[in-house]
Amino acid sequence: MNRELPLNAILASLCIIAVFAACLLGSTPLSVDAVFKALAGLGPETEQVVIWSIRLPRALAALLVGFTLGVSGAALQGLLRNPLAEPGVLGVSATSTLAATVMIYFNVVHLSPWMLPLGAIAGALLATALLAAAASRTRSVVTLILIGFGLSSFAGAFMSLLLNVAPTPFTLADMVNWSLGSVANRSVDDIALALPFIVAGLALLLHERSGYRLLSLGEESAEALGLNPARLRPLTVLGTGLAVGAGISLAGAIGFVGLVAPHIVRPLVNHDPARSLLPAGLLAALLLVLADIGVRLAPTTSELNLGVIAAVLGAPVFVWLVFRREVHRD
Amino acid sequence: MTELRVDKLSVTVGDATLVDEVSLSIKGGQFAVLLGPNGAGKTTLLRAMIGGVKMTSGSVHLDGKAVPGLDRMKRARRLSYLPQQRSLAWPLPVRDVVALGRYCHGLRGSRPSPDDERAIQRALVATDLVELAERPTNTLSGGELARVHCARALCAEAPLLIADEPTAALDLRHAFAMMDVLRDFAEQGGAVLVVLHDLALAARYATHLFWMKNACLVAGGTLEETLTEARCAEVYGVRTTIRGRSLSVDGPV
Repeated sequence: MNRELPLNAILASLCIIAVFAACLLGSTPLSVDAVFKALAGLGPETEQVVIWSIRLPRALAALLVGFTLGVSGAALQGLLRNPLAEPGVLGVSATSTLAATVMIYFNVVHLSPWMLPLGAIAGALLATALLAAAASRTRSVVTLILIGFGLSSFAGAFMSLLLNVAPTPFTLADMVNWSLGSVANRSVDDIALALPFIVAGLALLLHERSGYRLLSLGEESAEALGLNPARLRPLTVLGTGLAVGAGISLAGAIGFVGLVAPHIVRPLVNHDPARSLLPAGLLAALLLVLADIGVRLAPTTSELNLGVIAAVLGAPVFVWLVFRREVHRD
Repeated sequence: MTELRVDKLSVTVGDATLVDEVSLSIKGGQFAVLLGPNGAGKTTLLRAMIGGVKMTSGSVHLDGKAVPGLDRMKRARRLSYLPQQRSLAWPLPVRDVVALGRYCHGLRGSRPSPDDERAIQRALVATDLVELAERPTNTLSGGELARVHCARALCAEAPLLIADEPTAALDLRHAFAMMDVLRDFAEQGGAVLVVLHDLALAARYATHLFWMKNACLVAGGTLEETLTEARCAEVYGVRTTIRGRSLSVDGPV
């Protein structure tokens, strides 16, 4: 594990710097000194509130969601042996977002603020349970991708239906907000609810990561070498479902980060799918924290959604990667 | 010394019998070649032997232990299997791919133990890959890539090596090189079982031959006992001329 350490250390340091920068920057810029004081619980109360209730939770939410998407993306790419896989491919993001939207639409969120995150997690788990059931029955990853495609299509269509018949513009805006992804106005409590699921899911993925290296050789060879793909597959789906579901409950659907980050780190870890998990997570976390700073500082009349920035920047990279892949094939 | 014993192994899927009561055994030092036309059931037989396909009846014992019940890691340490489909999803460096063979010895990260290092180096030397060890696999030729897969199978240091068409898609020189590697392995006491389609190559290298046709084993034994022009005609439908270990195919019957 030694070879990956400098890369991880560098990325982790950059993440910390980025989170600090997120505390520093904003509509009322604070001095470095003031941020340190506020973090330590000293200084004027307004500055403490700005840091502890607004900027820090928001930056941590971006960090956490980014890390989740990066690790999950790298794990799914390892499992499916496809560099174009990401949580979205298996339909987990879409199903989870749909569940969150349903919670808003049927006003379940008014029963308790917890219903929204719980709904998103339930949606992700429903999708993953379906995938796990399929995964235990089929040996083909193509089947899994197709199921993911079906789930995404269904969720997308259902979302459109809900948006078309939304009773008031307010709920419509709410739902759009959710499906585009944002970490604005997240509290420490929101993070606390998502955190256990994210930790459990990511711990599972990181624990199983050496299996992805073996899977490079294909399932039959990996199996002959001592791996049990029939166990790795559902475990990966479960880990991804837990982490991504909880991540979506925190920030809505943010695409492409889980796809772009593993791509960037892969050459730096000799294309080892196992060793790409951690740096991919750290890089994705860094990217989202930086993107969110950009969203906050952008001189727009209404604040942009983080997911919009992620897609605007990530989608062209995705297309470019597909292009390059086609060229390089033989 | 390792011994693989297959007794009346059958594989039935639906109405189709893919392997019909095949019995054979291989011991250390033997270079056995499994022959037979396409669809004869060779690959299914190999897969059933290692537990990748469920056998309908019969048994497979490796050194006296039933293979289906064997722990995966233990099995991988005793039996290396090189499937027909040899894919590589990512352009890992050659050394890293070879190191995958050490998974069954507990190698998980990128810190190989001295034993792992020694095995990896030996496999690289045996397959003549030392100079390519740091190269990404997507820069290799087909022949070099085949050797990489062979190296990672050798790297497990299992006493039994089973390979499904290890010379497929290789030109003649590379096919000979691959067979040399396998023969060296057998001469050092290992047991080798390979599926081949090239009768001449089989005649040149094998110590034992097993002939399959229509899911059945029609003959099995030493090269001298079982390699005849009549058998080639019966199993493959070709005319051949055999002189010792030299075999030439003259055309269809």
